[in-house]
Amino acid sequence: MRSDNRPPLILTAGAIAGLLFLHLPILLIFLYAFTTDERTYQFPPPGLTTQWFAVAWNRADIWPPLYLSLRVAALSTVMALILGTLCAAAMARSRFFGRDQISLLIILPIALPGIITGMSLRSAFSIMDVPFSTWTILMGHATFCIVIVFNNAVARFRRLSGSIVEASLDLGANGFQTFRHVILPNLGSALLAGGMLAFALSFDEVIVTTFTAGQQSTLPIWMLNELVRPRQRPVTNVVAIVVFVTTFVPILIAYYLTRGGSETAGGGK
Amino acid sequence: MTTAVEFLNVSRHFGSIRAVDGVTLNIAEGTFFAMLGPSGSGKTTCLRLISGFEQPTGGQIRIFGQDCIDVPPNRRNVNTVFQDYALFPHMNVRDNVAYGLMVKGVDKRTRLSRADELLALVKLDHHGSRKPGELSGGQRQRVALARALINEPRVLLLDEPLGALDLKLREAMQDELKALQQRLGITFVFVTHDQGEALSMADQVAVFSEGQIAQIGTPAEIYEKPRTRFVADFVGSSNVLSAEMAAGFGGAARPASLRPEAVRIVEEGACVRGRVQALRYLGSGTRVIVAVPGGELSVFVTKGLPVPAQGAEVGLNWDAQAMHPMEQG
Amino acid sequence: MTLAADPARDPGHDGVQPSGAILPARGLGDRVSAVFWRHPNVLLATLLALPLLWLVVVYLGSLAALLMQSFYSIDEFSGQIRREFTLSTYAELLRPANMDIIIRTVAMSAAVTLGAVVIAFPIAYFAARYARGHWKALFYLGVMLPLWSSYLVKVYAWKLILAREGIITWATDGIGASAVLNGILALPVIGGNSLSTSYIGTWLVFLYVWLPYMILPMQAALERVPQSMLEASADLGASRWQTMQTVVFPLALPGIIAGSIFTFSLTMGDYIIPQIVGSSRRFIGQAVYQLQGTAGNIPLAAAFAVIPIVIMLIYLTVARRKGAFDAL
Repeated sequence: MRSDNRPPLILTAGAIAGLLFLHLPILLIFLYAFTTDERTYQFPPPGLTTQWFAVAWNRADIWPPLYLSLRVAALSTVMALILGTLCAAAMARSRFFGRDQISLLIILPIALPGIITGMSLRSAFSIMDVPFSTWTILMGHATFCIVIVFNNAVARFRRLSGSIVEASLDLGANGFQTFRHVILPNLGSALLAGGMLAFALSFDEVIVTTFTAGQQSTLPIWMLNELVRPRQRPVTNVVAIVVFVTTFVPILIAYYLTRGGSETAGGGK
Repeated sequence: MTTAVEFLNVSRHFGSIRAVDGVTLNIAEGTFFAMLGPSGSGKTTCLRLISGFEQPTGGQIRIFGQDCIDVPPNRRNVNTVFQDYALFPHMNVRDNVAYGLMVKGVDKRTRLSRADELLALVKLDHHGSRKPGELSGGQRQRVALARALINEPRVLLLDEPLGALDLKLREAMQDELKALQQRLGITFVFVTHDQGEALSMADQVAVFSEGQIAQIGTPAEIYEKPRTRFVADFVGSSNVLSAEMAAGFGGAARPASLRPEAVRIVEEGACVRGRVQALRYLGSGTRVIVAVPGGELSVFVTKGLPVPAQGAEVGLNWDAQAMHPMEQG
Repeated sequence: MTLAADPARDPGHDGVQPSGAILPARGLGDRVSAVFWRHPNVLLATLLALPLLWLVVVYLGSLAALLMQSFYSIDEFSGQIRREFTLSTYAELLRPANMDIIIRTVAMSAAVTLGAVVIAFPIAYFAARYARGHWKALFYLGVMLPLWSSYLVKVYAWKLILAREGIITWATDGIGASAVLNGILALPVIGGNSLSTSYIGTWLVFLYVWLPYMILPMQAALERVPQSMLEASADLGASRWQTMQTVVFPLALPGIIAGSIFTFSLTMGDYIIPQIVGSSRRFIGQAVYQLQGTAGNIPLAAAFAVIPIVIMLIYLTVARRKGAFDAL
């Protein structure tokens, strides 16, 4: 009988080792951005320098992919917000025929490997002779971002007391007034969190994108090319830091927006 | 007297479940009307039929004579105090109370000053800027009340509004609600599963059982003359005598109810004799459970009178008219 | 407007003036929401129309296109896609070289899933059972941040770690364990020239990248195990290990299955990790990528992509029976 609530030592050690395993590798990215060695991944670095940040800034081939990634992420976030919220509103409370099938359809784009979404879109573009463009990238991204917003929104819908909607109608508000004055303010932070996560996911996505991008490069595709055929390795690290921070900050914000609730953002990637 | 709410053979079926099954009732304007019954008896569904959150599958509902089939909740001049209060968590208390006026486009100054009046009415003058989350259960209840009254509804619906409060607060709120209803003169329709609450507050009580009204009447009628065994059981701890017992004690050969306070413990001239099974001290007196041939009887011994010991043999007696014959069932 | 609330009314007067029991509709908003109120299915259809249109047309349409392509074939002389139904593309999958790819991928997915279960369990169990307050938040963030942070950056970090001249070589040299490392690399099949060109390396990176997907559902399942149930088990004389085996593990199983759906499916479909860290032996993902790109053989790429779908559908059907979706 153990009345104390102390974990066994081996469990604590296992948990801490697991967390370190998850976190330490990222630190190396930061370290290697300052190395003076641009040809190998030598450890420890022979010397430290900050010159690569300036070099990266001046590399003309980095900026267009960055702009493209930002544009795609922003647009697919907006689309996911609209489509995901509509789905959540429909699915949160009502029970109807086909509901399970629809929820499967919503999670399918992330339940199946990205390569399937990518290859499917690629097949469709090939059959219909659709030329690659920013729009083809966007179609893929919006599809897998819907579920992110949906998950956040549906969790909040469920947590909202159902009777506050009824209370609003009871007090004379019509459906639209109820949405504007009661539902939206209570849904706001969950939607913001979902949007942040969708943005981070889209900004970083590479697997689906390689099948739908054609000649254009998003920042992750640029990075992938650098990984396969490295030129100035530390510059890749600098870009990696940019990508990391651009995804990390929205994720952290999303977490703080939804923490404390049962629907804390991120569990459902 | 004007009829505030009228149900004509109203039904609400959910698939094969008959939540409300052929209910007909009239609620007169200005009454405090209680819908009493166990959970699942259809009383809450009836309330939701009045507010418009449910639509009947059969029958007619009229509010002040106007047929309200197909009228959505927001166009019914009827407001509800919800069981969980349903206060808007993102608004402060004043904005919660003023909500009904806001959605009607009343300007901000007017609606906030009106909200303050209502908060004063429910004795929450200085809590307007707080968020609902910062209030106690009793305070939230008052806010919900004020919010439901701001539109000056023709009928106020209360769905187990006191259920979440502790006993002491509940009793205080009962008095306040009753006083408020008398002062405002609005028709109150009150749903509860607590028979004490219904009897002490209401002018009229409808007892619900399995989607139907088992009995409708004043609290005294319901308490003293229960029409069915269900009502007798549910409304109070009444003794129910089988038809044979009732006949044996000089009544009609029908099941009868017999209030425990109508039974006397006597030495001589007993109708029946039995052994004391259990004693329960109730403060204002003692409930004595006596095993008699064919069942057991509950006897209420008022404070001051002698209480028999457990296991003692006692004689019981009552006036024949104290037995109230009921319908079968 | 026959509004009940007349601002001009004497505020001190408590009595309520009788007014209409039914208020008139005000404007379009009232009228439209009345339609929705009378016909909830119209509202439902209105809400679902746009997202369903998107998911059905764009997503399901594409999946159908994928399936269609997999029944086409490539003309060997012209290199053009022949748009006629044939099973010959699927027959090509049965060639030994292609079967090798499939078996290799499934084996790797299974190995990654197993490894993830082992490493995830202590974290999930600790977080679910012992972490409280700030620690709980820290654990949650500690799992969620790696989950969401950039996939490519994570893969890149491992390229740095596993490189021949990288930190692992440096560390094993430093503690005089290079013989151990070389011994491991000398192992048949899973070894290789260096960690970054061996299956061990590929496995490590997969494990690292997909681990959070295992931890979160496992933790969710474990959090639903009531403390009292563990105490009841201990109370009945079960040792800690017995409790673990007979109570905790079966209750965590739906979470493990849910997590394994992710680790299995993500590993099967990945083509970037084995391309960056691994030997030249290909996985399904790489085959799909190369066939649709440089080789221009979209039908065969599509047929390859159908394999993970089929495997995952079987897996999902089994998982559904085990109740794994409640833990998602």
